[in-house]
Amino acid sequence: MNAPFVKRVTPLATIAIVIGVVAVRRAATAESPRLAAATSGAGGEIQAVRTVPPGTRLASEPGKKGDTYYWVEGQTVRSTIRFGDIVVVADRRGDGKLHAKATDAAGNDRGDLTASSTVLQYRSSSGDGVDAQNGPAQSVQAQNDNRDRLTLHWVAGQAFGLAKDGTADLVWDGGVMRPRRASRHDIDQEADEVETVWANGLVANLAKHDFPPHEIAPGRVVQGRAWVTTLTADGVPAGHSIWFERDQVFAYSLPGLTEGLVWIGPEHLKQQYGGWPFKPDVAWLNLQTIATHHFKTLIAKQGFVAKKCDAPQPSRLAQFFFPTLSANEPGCDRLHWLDGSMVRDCCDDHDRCFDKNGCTEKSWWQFWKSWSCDFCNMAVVSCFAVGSDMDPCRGRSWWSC
Amino acid sequence: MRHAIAFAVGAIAFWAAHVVEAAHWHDWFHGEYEPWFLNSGRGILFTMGCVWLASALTAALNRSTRPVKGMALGGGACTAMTAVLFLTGPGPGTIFPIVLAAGGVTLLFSSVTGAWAGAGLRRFAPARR
Repeated sequence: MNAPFVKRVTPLATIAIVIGVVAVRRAATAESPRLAAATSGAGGEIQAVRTVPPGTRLASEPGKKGDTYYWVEGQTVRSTIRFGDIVVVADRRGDGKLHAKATDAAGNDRGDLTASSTVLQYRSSSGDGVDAQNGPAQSVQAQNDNRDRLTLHWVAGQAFGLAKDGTADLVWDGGVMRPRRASRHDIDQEADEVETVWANGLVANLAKHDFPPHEIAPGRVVQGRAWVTTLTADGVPAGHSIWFERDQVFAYSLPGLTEGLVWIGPEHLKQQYGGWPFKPDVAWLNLQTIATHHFKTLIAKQGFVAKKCDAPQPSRLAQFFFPTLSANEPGCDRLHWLDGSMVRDCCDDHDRCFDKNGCTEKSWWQFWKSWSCDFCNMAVVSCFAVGSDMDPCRGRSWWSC
Repeated sequence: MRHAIAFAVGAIAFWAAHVVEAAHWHDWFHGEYEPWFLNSGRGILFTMGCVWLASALTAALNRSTRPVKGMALGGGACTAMTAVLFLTGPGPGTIFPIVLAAGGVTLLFSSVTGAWAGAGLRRFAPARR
């Protein structure tokens, strides 16, 4: 071996070794997490995937709110609950957090709560005398140890409890924070009114009423305290639902989407669940009404055009429980034999036009009072004469489709 | 006088048909809304049948040399229909002029065809001396 050859090869070999070492280390660094994950799993052990054969029906846990409920709840824009003299408005924030603000009847601040899946931040009122029982203003930040998914109803109830009882010595009780010395609130009993503002212009308003005994179906009498939800779509009455506390009967009427009053009692659920598998709450009643309307509307959209523009009115039985709507009927009033024909659209459009413009049958002879009503009447006459419906989307502003 | 009687017969025929429909609205006529002949196909047929029969009998039993055309009887039925529409049930409804027109055409058709049939029947009856 001669020295010049060694002198030339040594630097090249050194560079090659350095490059090789660096490359091997990089490859090893990139490979190690994958290897670690593959060999150890998240908890340090490997768990087999449990496959389900196609067609297998998986039973969800009765009594537990499912994905559909949370999906529907997740579309709620705002929930307002009135508890006597305290009003709580809960809404969703852009960052995914839920916020609830409590005020008294005079509009004075009683505190607000911001909730995420991990942290709850509550700020009590400014202590300007209105909240004298809770002392001076204070802020509380706590870990969210509520295991259920966050909902506006929960946030509103939690804000109400804290506004009412204060924030001293808080403990978790059934998924709700309360002062140790205070008793647990029954939100559903204490709530007087609940307004749920949903997507697509749907708004459900719940109020409580007492009803005398009435036959909801042959041989089935209901009575007493009931929660009544009134549903509106873009401001137009769209249906009702009702829950009888004592009789445990739920009923709903979505004119144009359902026929008459649909009711469900514990007797219908006895065989499968032994009764109601969950305790209905005020938020559920509003969301159930909204969801039923939403999904039935989706189905109806595939069908008859008139259903898109239906003038919703209750059945006769529904009118007993939900007396606030006008006496107008769905379809062709006093000409219901034609309800199944092509002129049904004319009648529904006309009803909707009447609804929107506040017309009554008097507009036929008091034609000088409202041009809008005259237009409705002329339109329905021409619709009957031509024998086909008018495109509701052409007269969108009139029919408010 | 002849027209007045026909008018009254038409009104009574419609009213009688309405009373029967109201009494058996759900079982015979399968009615869903308030009792009203245009709310049910069976109700329409029944009312038309009553008016037709009344008109046919009136025409058949007519002793005058002037034939019964059924217009007066139809007018009486339409008057009764209007009264029932406005005075019973939840009110005339949002499209009552259309309802009146549809009901009027139906009743007039029945009374005119009934009178025509009754007049034809009368021709076959043995001549009175």
